[in-house]
Amino acid sequence: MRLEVRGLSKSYGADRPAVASVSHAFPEGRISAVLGPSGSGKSTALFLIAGLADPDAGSVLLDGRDVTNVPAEKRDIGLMFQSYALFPHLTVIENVAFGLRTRGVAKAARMERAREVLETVRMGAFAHRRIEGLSGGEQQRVALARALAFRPRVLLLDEPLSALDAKMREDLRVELFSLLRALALTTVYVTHDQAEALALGDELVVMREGRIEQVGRPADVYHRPRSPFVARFLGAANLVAGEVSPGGDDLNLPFATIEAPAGADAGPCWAMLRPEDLEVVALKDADFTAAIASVQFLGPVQRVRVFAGRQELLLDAPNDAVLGDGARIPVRMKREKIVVFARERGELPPSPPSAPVVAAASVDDSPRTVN
Amino acid sequence: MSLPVSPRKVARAAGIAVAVSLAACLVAPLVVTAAGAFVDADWYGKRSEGALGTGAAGLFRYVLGIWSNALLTSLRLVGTVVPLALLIGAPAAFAFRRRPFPGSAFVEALAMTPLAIPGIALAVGLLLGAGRAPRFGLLVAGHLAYTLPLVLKTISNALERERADLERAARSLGAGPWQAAAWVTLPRLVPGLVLSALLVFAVSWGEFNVSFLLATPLVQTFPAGLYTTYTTNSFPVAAAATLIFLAPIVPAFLAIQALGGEEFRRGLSS
Repeated sequence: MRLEVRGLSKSYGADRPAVASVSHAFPEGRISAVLGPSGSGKSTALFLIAGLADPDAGSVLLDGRDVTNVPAEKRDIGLMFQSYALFPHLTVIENVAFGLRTRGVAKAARMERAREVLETVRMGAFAHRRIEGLSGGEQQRVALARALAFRPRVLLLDEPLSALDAKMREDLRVELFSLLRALALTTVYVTHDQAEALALGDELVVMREGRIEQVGRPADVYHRPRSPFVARFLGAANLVAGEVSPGGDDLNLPFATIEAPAGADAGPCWAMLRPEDLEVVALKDADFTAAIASVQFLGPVQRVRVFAGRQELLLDAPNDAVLGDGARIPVRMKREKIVVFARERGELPPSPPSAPVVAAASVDDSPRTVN
Repeated sequence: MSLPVSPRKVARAAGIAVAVSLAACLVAPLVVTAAGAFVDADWYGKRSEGALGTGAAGLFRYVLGIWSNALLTSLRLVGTVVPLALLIGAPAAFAFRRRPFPGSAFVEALAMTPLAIPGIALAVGLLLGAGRAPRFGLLVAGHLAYTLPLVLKTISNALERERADLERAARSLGAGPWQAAAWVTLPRLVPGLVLSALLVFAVSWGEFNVSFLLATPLVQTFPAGLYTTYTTNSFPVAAAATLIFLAPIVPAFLAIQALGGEEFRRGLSS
């Protein structure tokens, strides 16, 4: 099923649009991860697609058919809520069978199908339990099973893992990944967690203030962000204020001058370098030397905060390197990884929307509170 | 310097003493009434009613004989008012909470005003406005005015605690607005509906002001009859009538108490 939105707009207040003229064709049978900080309009967009909110403008198309005026219950779109929204007065299996009951499926048939879906999310043993006694992870699986049981044409997931603790989130992410892949449904997966978005999405849609900021394969968006915002939002990024020389040949940074990336426009710029693109090398290969300010052991790597002159940088060193505070290390920049953005003179670097080292905190996103 | 008894203990003891004496003051009339109906004492004036002398059973038979009409009127009234109040109040509360329309807040406030209007004003208003309507109909209207606000408030509170996302989830699973209401919202509202039914029952059963002023010799509610019996009959007869009046209302209040607690806990946990 092809899902497309055209010029979709919705505002809850007069001056702050939640979704501002969003147009996008979601790839058929693939997972689109919609990533954005809280309040970027991603959950609102989901509710508009599901038909649970009415757009101010724009349209939603399923297989080319305009369903903007079709009520939610007639769209055959499965939606998994951030809050799960399981019915507390029904058992697990009755919850899962609900979408079949509304479609008039006979009791025996819908119970059989519900049981089958419960098995796929490994919740078969819980069929006759009440919702109240379930853990967060169990509720998450039931909610997913409920959204899938009636064989929706499109699956929408609103922050499906955000209500879980970190360890559980990791485990379920892997499980969800293989399950969603096997389903091959057109899936829109909304999250504010960049790790989730990068891992789960066939396609990544980055949203900011109600608009789509960038669309692409996760790796492409990660390596070639189109704006400092995307660079900062997708993982840690050093943004260094520099300048591309008038001929476009040199990139002047406060601590080194190197050849400019091909196609860089002359003038003030931000040079983006991810921590893993700064290597500790032998002195003869170094672009510059930097003084270590602090070292954070992250497991796979050590994230090192250094100063190259007055410029603070984050770099990733091997997890077995011996690094002492205050020591000077020779550093080389991976040329092909440098991304350059135009910069206004005197412009401050964009502040990261989430802490660059640790994954984003679980912050609630809007539409649940908006009625 | 330390006191022999801590001030906190003194305060606690004083609090308990006040509570116990208040409770005693509330219960004492009931005890006297109950005693009046069962103690066979000449000085209560029992003999003066003539048809007595056969113990408590005889007394109750006599009382039911005089007031059966009023009792039936009250039962019929309650039987009409409780379902009507729920049928009007619950959907109205749902509309106010879930489908507000321009001016709905004003209408809601207006529906609450009878609580602040004296019964005599309401009764006179009903008589002036629709004096030719059947008297029983006027009684129903008066009782609805007093009980609808209770239903509105109870159901509104229950709906406010209920997460609207359950209704949205039902819609996304293919339930139309009516199905969502019937399969999700309504089952979740059952405790609130039972609670408001009990409240309406208790208020309607005991309502005196409007009932008394609208009473005719033929259409009279039991509380209005109680007033008459206290002014005209002997004390044992009035006491027995009072016990008959209290018989359904005490269990109702106990149920309200129990349900209210349950409602409260559910509200906290969800």
